[in-house]
Amino acid sequence: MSKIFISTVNVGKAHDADIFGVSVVNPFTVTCSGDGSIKLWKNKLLDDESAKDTVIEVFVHKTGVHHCETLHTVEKGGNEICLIACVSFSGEIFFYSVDVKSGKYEKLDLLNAAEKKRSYWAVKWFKSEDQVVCHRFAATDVKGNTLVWRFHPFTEELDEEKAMKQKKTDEEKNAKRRGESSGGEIEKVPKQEDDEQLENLVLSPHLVLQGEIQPSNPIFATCVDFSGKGLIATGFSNGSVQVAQLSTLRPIYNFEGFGIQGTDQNSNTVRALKFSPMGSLLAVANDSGSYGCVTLYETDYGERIGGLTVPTHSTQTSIGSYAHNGWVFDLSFNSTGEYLATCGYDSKVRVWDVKSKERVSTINLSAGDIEIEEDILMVDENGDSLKNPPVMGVRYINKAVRGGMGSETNEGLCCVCLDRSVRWYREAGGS
Amino acid sequence: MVSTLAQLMQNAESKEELITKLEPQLRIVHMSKDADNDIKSHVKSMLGLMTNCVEQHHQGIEVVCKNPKGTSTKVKFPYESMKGDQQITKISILLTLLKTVHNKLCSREVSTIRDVYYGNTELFKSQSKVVQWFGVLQHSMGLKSRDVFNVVPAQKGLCFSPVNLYFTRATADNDVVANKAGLIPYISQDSRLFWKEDISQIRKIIVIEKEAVFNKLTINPNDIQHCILVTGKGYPDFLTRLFLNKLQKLTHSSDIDWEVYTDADPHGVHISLKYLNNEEEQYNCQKLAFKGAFISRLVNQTLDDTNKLGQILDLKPRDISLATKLIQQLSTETETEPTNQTRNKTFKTELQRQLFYFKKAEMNSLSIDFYINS
Repeated sequence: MSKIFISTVNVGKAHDADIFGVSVVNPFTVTCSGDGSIKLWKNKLLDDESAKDTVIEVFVHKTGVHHCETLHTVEKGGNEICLIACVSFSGEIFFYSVDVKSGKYEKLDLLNAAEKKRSYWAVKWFKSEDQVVCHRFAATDVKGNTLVWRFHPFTEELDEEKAMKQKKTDEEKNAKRRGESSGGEIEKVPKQEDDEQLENLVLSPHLVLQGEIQPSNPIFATCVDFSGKGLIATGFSNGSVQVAQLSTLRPIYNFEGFGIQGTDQNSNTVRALKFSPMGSLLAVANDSGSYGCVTLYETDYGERIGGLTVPTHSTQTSIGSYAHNGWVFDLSFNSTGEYLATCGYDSKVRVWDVKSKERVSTINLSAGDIEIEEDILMVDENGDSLKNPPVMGVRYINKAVRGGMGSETNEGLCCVCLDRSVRWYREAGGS
Repeated sequence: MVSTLAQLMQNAESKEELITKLEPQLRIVHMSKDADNDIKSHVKSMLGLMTNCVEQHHQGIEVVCKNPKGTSTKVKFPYESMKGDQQITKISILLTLLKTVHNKLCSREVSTIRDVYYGNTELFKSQSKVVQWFGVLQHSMGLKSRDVFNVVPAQKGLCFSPVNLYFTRATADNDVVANKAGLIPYISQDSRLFWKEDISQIRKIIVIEKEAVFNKLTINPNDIQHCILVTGKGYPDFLTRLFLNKLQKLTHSSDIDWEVYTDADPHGVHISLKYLNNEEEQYNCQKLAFKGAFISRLVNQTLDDTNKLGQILDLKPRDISLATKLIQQLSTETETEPTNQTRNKTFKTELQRQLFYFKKAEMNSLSIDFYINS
């Protein structure tokens, strides 16, 4: 079954330089660019509002920003937290806390002096859905190390081990009670937290370093992702992927040798990797020469279960199968994990059915798509054509995140392209 | 007059004082500017002074020189210490160089740093040592360049011109002959460049990083009758930059495009910046416009033609750190000197893309037309 995506909003010349990353949370779509700033685009636009009028611009660093990742959670006591982490081309990480209602932002200093000395590349937040597991933050450095921090929103830190034990004993108690009560009535254990405890909460977002995962040999670590099942994966520029256990940071799998090895032509840099929302799959995007491949792994046993490929009729490429006719820059699963969106140098966004590994949609982008004519950028400063702009980032958007017709019931997509545009789409049909 | 050790010991209040008293008296020789005499007699008088001191007066010497960093270096002879070896080497190098300079100036012949180094490899150990000590000599004597020593670096840059180029104060074989690729001639800072023919045909001056591309372009001189080509073979030497600077001054009124092409890697950007910026004005060539090769163009080309795949390579850790350093440098420069903003943005965007793609590429795969006609 194919899907159709309709363009809803697009913004040309969104930044003054190339846009390298995008991240979507409920209130905002965040983009980062080589011009040194990040922009927060409001997701729910009113009828008379335009995206450019309501955008919040945050200048981060003069060298340019290549990664931005966001964390949006509602913590105990109804404390809403929205944090943005971004990495500059100088290798530094910057944190901002955004007040969702007023749009006011504040720079946070979350790393200590020793941690600041490293040169970082990719970052990622992990939003824990489990009460006894902390949110996490990971960053890779240029030497291939992956550093993992626990994120504590309040002054009082959550002790994971203690909380885990407490949870276990509570469960056992529950089970016993269930066994005792013959009528099958389940009596709820009274909740531990009381009002007094809530009052004592002092908001003080901070990071505590959990540890670091070292690579087998120092290679540029290009991307990192967390799974809900307690795994963390790091992708490297030489094509290998290291998967480690989040609780211990011990490596458990190493995926190597995508494509053909050994020659420069077949470089297979990993450009993106993502765990499915349930954590059972890992999708890895890597180069195969100038083509882009997407490979799927099952995470329980670390088995390769297939790749996403388009049928080719080319006489030039007889071996190999690829997902994009160009490098794949980004991946994004939808909230159910049924679909995977990929984007690449070939100025296409593709949506795949994960189960059947078939393409269900392809969006062809062209610089001329931009609504406002004067914002169309056909050539860059060097005189190179951007008519078919490479797509640098893509994100699936959950239902009801974006405003506008049909967004309540349909999922959407957002992508950023080299023509300095941000485009939002919504799946067609259904209501 | 104190003469015995016992007396010396009695007079000295501390051990340190005694040691100082026991040290031989040294004559201090300051290497300095001499505005009245020419360099030849200056060097000669300094050499004579030191010889006299040692031979006739049986007195040690201490030579005080200035470092390029601005600090002063002292070398003693004789030197009594466990570390004496190093000091002896230093003074030997210094004296050998002075002697060589004197000889070259007397015989009026120009030699290269390489020649000087091979004159006594055992002493110098490495060619960079020679360069370093020439730097010390140059700074001590307050000279603008070391050309006056008649010792020059071996030529590295090549140039091609469709018209004859002449230099004042250069010998005949040093001129650039039309339609023949050759080494950039030895020129000094005060030599002037000129041409006798009509130069209206020249519309472009192209600087190329790689010799291979330069050679490819100069195979058919007829195709490039409108260009002057220059290559510094990688990082340019001062002579190449001086030559470009002279060309720039000569052509300042004419409407000529200046272009620089390098590999699409952080070193390529660094090389372009070397041509454009130097603390000393005489080695600058501000007119040059950075024209690539851009990584995006090479990637696009690879996509169009799969046979050209081999030209795209992974960035090495050294490339990554250089790129990061350059981006920072360019960003700071843009803040302090907004005049170069557009130019710096081109460099910055290029470096950002190379880093984001984790790739670099060589300029060799661009077609010749690209350089000549773009």
